[in-house]
Amino acid sequence: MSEAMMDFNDSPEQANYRMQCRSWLAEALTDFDGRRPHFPDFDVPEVMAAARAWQSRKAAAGYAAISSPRGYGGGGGSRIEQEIFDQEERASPAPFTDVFDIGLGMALPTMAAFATPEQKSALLPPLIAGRDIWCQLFSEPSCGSDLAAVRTRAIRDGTDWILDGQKIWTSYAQHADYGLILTRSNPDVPKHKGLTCFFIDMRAPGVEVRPIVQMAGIAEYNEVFFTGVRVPDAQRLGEVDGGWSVALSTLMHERTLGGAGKVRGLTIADIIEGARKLQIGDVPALADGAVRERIADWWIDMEGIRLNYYRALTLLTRGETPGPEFSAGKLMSGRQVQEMAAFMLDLSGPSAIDIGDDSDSAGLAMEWLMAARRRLAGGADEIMKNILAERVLGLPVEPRLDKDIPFRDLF
Amino acid sequence: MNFELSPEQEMLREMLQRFMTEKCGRDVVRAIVDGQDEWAAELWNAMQQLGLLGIGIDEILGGTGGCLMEVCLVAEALGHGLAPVPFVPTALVSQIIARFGNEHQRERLLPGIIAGGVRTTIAAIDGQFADGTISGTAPIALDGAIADIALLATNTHLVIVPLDGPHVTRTPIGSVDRTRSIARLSLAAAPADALPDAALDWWQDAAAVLSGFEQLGGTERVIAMTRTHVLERRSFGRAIGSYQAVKHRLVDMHIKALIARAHAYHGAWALMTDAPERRLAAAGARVAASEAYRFSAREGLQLHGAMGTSWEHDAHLHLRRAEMLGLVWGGSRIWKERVVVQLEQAHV
Ligand SMILES: Cc1cc2nc3c(=O)[nH]c(=O)nc-3n(C[C@H](O)[C@H](O)[C@H](O)COP(=O)(O)OP(=O)(O)OC[C@H]3O[C@@H](n4cnc5c(N)ncnc54)[C@H](O)[C@@H]3O)c2cc1C
Repeated sequence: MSEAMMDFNDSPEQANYRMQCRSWLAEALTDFDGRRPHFPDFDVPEVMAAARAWQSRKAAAGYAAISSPRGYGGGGGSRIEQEIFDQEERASPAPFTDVFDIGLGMALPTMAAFATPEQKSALLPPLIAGRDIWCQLFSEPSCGSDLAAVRTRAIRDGTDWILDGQKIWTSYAQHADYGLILTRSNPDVPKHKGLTCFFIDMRAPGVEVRPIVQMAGIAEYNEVFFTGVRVPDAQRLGEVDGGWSVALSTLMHERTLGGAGKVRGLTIADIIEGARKLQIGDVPALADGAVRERIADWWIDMEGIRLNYYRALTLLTRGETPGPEFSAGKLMSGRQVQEMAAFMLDLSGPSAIDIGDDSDSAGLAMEWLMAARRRLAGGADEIMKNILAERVLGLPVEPRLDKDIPFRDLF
Repeated sequence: MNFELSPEQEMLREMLQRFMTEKCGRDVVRAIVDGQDEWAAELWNAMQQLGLLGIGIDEILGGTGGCLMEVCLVAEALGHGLAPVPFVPTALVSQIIARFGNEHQRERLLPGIIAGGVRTTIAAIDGQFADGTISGTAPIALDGAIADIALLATNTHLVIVPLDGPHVTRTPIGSVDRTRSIARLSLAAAPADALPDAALDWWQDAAAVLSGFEQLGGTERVIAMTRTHVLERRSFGRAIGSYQAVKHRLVDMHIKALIARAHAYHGAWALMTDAPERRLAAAGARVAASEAYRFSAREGLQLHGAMGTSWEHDAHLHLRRAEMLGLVWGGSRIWKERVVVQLEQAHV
């Protein structure tokens, strides 16, 4: 057999690193009681405190932002090491730190690419260490998928800019210290050409955050209002009117490897366990042919996503960058979890109407309610399909009727 | 972590693509479909000359070397080209004999297979093996009409049977896939030579994986051909490929191919390493690849419009091939059941 044969094992260096992560996690986690909610609600003070403590603990040991340069408080390691740590952390009872995900996953690479060296030294270490929380102020009431149509105005005033407008669906804005914002700096040119990006202080006068309660009862996202907010030009990222390329690079970071092996939620094991207990007539649901066929179909897709994630990891190991085809994982997993949760509710029968805290269906119902958001956050399913069609299959781009029209004439 | 082809395997893949473009053009396939030839003997000879019939077999045994993954890549290329040759059954048999056969069986069979003179089929048979002979009927023997040797699986044995004797009757069937010569084999006390029990357990998984690669090649071909078509064909003043319903359908095909490829690699890996999850991985490859090819063939035909329904067009050749391959080792429902049985055991 040829030497370069496929295998799922770590290289000796990777195995070493994994053992190092595992033993560090085991030791570091002795302080934590291991009790975690089903879904983290960072409005609960203990949940937030645990997240901050855990993040700073990781940073002190070099396990936060492993693949970022040491100069900013990162670990100075490789992408594959980052993945190895993430895998080990996911398998451990570590506190949830999702509230830092936007900062680490999007703000950090965007700032690293576009901010000045002084800004990076000042802002990135506290982000990595779990002191600062960042949010992404892109979507607006009038546009989400069509992001380049944002209306929040940025008007130049000497060495400052004045921001007026509204953002919405901003995850964790209620906790955030900083935000990346996409604004309309020039309405006299077509929409993509008149955008400018900034990072802003969420405590600046004129910024008002109002939480929006999600369908599952948790307020994860917010509306954010801007009234005469003064932002120094030094906080601009990229060129004046060149914000679109900054936003695109942020979105690219959001979507790479998205959904591939990362999502929490219902698993095939959960479905099998549930179908063993539930009955259809006098037999366990797991003995029913239709149930079995659905399980096989879901396993094929979920396992396929997981195996594809291994292909992406292989590319990382080889120092290559996985392309947009790996965003298929995000596209598939949202719908999948939604379907699996709905199927299990259906199997449970009328009793699943009771989703009260003490009921059997409480956890399942939460999965079902939370699943809807996976198909929208970070790019709606339909938009992800457009991206795959255009970037991977090379099919024509969607007609863009507004492409050459000055933004102000569009409405 | 290494879950990609090696650079050498990538090179082999490219070489195979060029080879197929050159040696397995439309005329070759059409000659079989329209009944002029029974199978593509010239292509087979060219494969033999390249050493493709000995790939995945140790040099000590007269093979070209390489591993099972390379055999899979050949199957993929042949699936891509709708090749009318008995490669998958022949490679299955040579792999099984190289792996499980005794010295005598190896010496008797491998040289002929590698030299291209001996073609084989492999099939499940409703029948009995006793006292060195086998009786019964194998209703569907893939490439059985042109095979010299068969590996036949009863419930209890996997046996080698030469097909040239008086104890064997073969009847070509009207196959849904006209590019392959499928036959019914009836045996009346035909002399047969048994392989070890472990081979009986292995062959279906290997068949699932190898065919999975053939299906994958077909899927990729359909996607490429459909993509070309939707970029060229226009309606209402624009390329049909610019309509979102069309784009999204192609993305669905592409994702199924992506999932099938991941499972096929996994299946090949599990066979090569004798991994504990071999059965599950093989069943995954079979189900995912059958679904990808059948779905793409069906939807790809739809996107070709009425032209796709004509005899002249290749869309139906893929639809037929996808159906034949989806059925030949048992339909999806059966393989999905294998998946769930394995999952139940894994999650007790
Ligand atoms: C839980 C959650 C958290 C979020 N967090 C953030 C955040 O932190 N920061 C932030 O900026 N945003 C955030 N968002 C917003 C998210 O990015 C948008 O919801 C998403 O991009 C879709 O935009 P929209 O909601 O305006 O829907 P729309 O763009 O109005 O789309 C509505 C429907 O139309 C479809 N559609 C739109 N255009 C097309 C097209 N061209 N072709 C086909 N179909 C189309 C969409 O797929 C969708 O199904 C979050 C959303 C959720 C649900």
